[in-house]
Amino acid sequence: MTRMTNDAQNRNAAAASARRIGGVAVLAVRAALRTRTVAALLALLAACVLVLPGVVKGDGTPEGELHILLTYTLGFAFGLLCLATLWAACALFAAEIDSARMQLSAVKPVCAAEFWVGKWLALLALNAAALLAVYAGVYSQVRWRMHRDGWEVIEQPVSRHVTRPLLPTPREEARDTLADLRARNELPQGYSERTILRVLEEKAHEKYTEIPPGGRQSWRFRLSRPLYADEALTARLRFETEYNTRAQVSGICRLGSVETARAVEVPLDDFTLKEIEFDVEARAFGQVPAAGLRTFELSFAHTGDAQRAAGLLLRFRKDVALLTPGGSFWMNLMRAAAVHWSVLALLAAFGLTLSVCFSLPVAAFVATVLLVLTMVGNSVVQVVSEEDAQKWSNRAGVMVSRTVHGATRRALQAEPLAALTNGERLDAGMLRVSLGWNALLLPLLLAAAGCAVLRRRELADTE
Amino acid sequence: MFPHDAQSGARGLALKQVRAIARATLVEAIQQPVAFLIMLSAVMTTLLVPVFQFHRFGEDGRLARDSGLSCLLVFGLVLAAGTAGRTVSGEIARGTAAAALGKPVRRVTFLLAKALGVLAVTALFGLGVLSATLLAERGSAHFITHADYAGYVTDVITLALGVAGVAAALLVAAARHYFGRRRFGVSAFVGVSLSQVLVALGTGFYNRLGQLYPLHGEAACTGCGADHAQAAGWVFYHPELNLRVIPAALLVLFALAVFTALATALATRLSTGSTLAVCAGVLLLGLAGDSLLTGAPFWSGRGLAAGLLPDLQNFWLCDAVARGGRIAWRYVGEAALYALTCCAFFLGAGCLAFRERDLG
Amino acid sequence: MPESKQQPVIETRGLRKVFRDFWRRPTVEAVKGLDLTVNDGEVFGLLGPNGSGKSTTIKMLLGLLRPTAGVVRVLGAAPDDTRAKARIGYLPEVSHLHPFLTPRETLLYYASLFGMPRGEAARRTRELLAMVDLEHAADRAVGGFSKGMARRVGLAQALVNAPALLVLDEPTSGLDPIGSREVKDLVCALARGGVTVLMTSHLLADVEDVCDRVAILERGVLRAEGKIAELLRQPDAVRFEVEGLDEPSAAAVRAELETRTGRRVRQEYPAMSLERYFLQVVAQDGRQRAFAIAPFLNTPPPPNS
Repeated sequence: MTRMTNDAQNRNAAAASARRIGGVAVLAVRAALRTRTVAALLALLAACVLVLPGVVKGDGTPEGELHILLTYTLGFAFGLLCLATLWAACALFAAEIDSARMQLSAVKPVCAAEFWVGKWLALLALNAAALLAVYAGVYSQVRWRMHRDGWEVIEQPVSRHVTRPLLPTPREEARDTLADLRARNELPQGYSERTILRVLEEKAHEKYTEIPPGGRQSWRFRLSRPLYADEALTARLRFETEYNTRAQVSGICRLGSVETARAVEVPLDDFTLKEIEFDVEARAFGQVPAAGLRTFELSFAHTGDAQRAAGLLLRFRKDVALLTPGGSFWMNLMRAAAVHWSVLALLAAFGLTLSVCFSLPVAAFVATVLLVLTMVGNSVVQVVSEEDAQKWSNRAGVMVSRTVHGATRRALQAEPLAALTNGERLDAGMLRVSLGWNALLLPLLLAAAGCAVLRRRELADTE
Repeated sequence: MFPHDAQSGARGLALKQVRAIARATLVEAIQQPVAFLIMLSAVMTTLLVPVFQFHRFGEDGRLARDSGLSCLLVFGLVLAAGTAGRTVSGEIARGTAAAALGKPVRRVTFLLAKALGVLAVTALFGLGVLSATLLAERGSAHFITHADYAGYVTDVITLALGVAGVAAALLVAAARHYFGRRRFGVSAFVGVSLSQVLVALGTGFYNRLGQLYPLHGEAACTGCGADHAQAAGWVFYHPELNLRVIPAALLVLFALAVFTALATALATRLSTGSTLAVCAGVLLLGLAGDSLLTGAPFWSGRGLAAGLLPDLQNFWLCDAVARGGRIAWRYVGEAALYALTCCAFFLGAGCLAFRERDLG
Repeated sequence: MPESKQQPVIETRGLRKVFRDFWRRPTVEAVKGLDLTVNDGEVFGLLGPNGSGKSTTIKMLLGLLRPTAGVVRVLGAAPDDTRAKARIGYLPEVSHLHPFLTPRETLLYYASLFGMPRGEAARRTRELLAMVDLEHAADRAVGGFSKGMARRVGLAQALVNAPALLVLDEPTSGLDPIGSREVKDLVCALARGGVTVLMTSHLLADVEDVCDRVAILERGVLRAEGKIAELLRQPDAVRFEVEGLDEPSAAAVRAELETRTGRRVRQEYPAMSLERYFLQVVAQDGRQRAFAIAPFLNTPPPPNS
């Protein structure tokens, strides 16, 4: 009986807590919807989705139009939502505390965590609605243009699984290289091993391989999901070579299935564009077993003239891939929306915590500056060389940039717009990391900090 | 009394009212922590750009100059629009506008005085950021050919003095707050601005290699292009600042004046956030107006927008200062007239909107 | 007024509040060592001139400010304990309401903060709106209300949880005489029901009408405390009131008293208060409505609340 009473009490307490959180969330949603600022934001988003694609001129091709819709329109709308979410979050606590409206709520039996979670959930709900509207608007535009301009099947947006070559990870490769350098006593002087390892890992990410005329390079792939008999496999190669020398480049691409031991050879002689894709049907690899085909080998042999042709430069980790059907474009859009939503959830949590600590203008300003520092910091990390980083005048900036980059790397590593534009399906693992990191772990830490400050903060002025 | 006396008395009263309201607006605006933060961020960003410059584009100081003027425009816009929004719409919401207008103050006088007050804030801000831009450009890497050295030299002393000036201003403000209970925000805002002006004036006492004046002949000036060997002999004071930036900065300040007028007009009806959002939209459209809006007939929507929106490309001439170019003062005068026209238009609309606004 | 029970609902010992500037230097000592006790079921008035520390004391009792020194217990717990807050209702001096909410939404919001089920919250909202005579404006945004109407909404939200302790800061501020009378009737009715009321007011007549005990603060120090009747009593004077006494009889009684006591006797004709006269006049026009306390406030709370 006592246990049942305790269970009932716990359930009642949980229900009461849910009602408190719901009340705070509903108030925040009402506050957002009944101010002109939200109307202005909606107008800007509508202009972005409806007007911007008409204003920004593309190259006239379906690919160009898709690029504008997916990169510019979604990118601009997402940027607007980032700023709006950040500033709205900064206002949620700060405006109430500054105007003394918080006093009436603070004397009610609501703990700091319930306040924080309620307001955060309100922002999540508003962002979900806004993102859904924006993505639905963009999808409608894509469908309308497909219908209006009669896009070919090959020109229509797709979603494909991307499989990269089976290789050691950049970290493993960096460790091997470091061990090798250490064994040969050729470690660079003046740098710590940690710095060397970091630089080697960065270089491994972007490492180029050159395929000279007469040369050959192979890669092995294991698909994340099998290729079935009625499906086609796409091989994609991106490369860097001087444009005026591309005409002399030619080669033979050989794509073979390890399971059936059958291969298809495809001659490639048009290297005027930076990217080549070709499709091969599964049936070309012979009898496809019921379990499908998983393991493939791709090789490229450079058949260009050794005297005149240029070598082909590839970043083999990034520029070589096998693509398989990966669901619908619409679902991939939704996955991208989920990634963006997770970033907005993180910004909402960040703004809420700042708004507990500062007044509204100061919180909004600090939030904007930190956002800009994050963007600048990530760029600095990409362009700074070790020599530049060693200068005393640069050390502070580089240290701050690297710290910011390290803290935000996982939050921002998914690049949904690039994936959508390239027709790549957003990886489930990447989605989990984004959601887990941005919408759970980091907000939890920020909430703990915000609630700690809110509990200690005096909410009334002098009389 | 003669009618003339009554009129001049009324004019004198209006001027006094304008002065009082504008002064109160200025003090109330710069005492806010956010005003000081904006000033500090703009000045420090400008000063630190030459330090964190990882690529040299071969144009001495261009990145520093363009960054400084960009900071002046963007931070200045936030400051101007935010201050105008807060001081007009905030006072309407709080009821202090009603209290002021309960005195014999006309609404037009009130609104124009508010706009003047915000302009004063922007001007003080502009002074500080302009000085910081001059310092940043002097401090950025310049290619110097000297008797003992030829190569890129970063004038670290100037940049360090600029940062030290900011720090000194903050210390003075803190001391005034601690000992005299003076408002920290006011002291810091004014102090940071003045510190940059003083440091800019002080750079005239040494050259880029850190050698103190007076110097003679070729040693007198490193890298500024003047031929001091042909001068009177000794050089006692030579700031080596790129004063050609001043007209470019003035043009940006004219743009900020236009935004001040626009924000003041909008704030009679919109909240601070909405005012900022609209001003940001006008900024983007104003900068992109050349490519988006020109060529359309004037009776169309785009044509109307092209006519009503200020063309901000008229105020952004940073490229003209590159490679030794100059902006003619005549052009600055014409831009001032254009800015004045835009301000008059926006403030006129604002006065009309404010006339019908319920303040109760 | 009922005799108060001796169980303290509010207890402060050596309560002190010093406000400091940015450099942590003391600027104002608003409350200096206050020892205060408010017992269960009594109506307690906290009085004092402007700047005496009344609002600061109340905010410390409610956890909105942290005491610099001293002990505060409210309903047997610390001020920021949510179990205590669940039984407190608070009406601040200025009702800082959300201007974009209607009175109905306001009350539902504050009811939700008590974890109240929706049905119960809706019922209480209806009853409170009827009690404060705002049913006709229940769905208008509070931002457009007059000061008096906003005050009524503030009063209603203070009662939504049927509190055991009601803290009222200038409860009749902004209300017309009818509204003021209704608030005082409400306070008396709640006190009869066992609710403890702590109120501050500059309208001393209101305090005299409803309070059992008062404390007078001045510059953060408690200057006087006690029951109103005892504090106001003039020890060396007696007043008799006789109804229906004619003038000659009154003169004779006065003469007899002067002869017996050898002192000058003052003869007065009692007058009703201006408030009472106003309400009588208004009632003749039929304006005054019958005030009724919300039914849920009359219902005793369940034992576990």
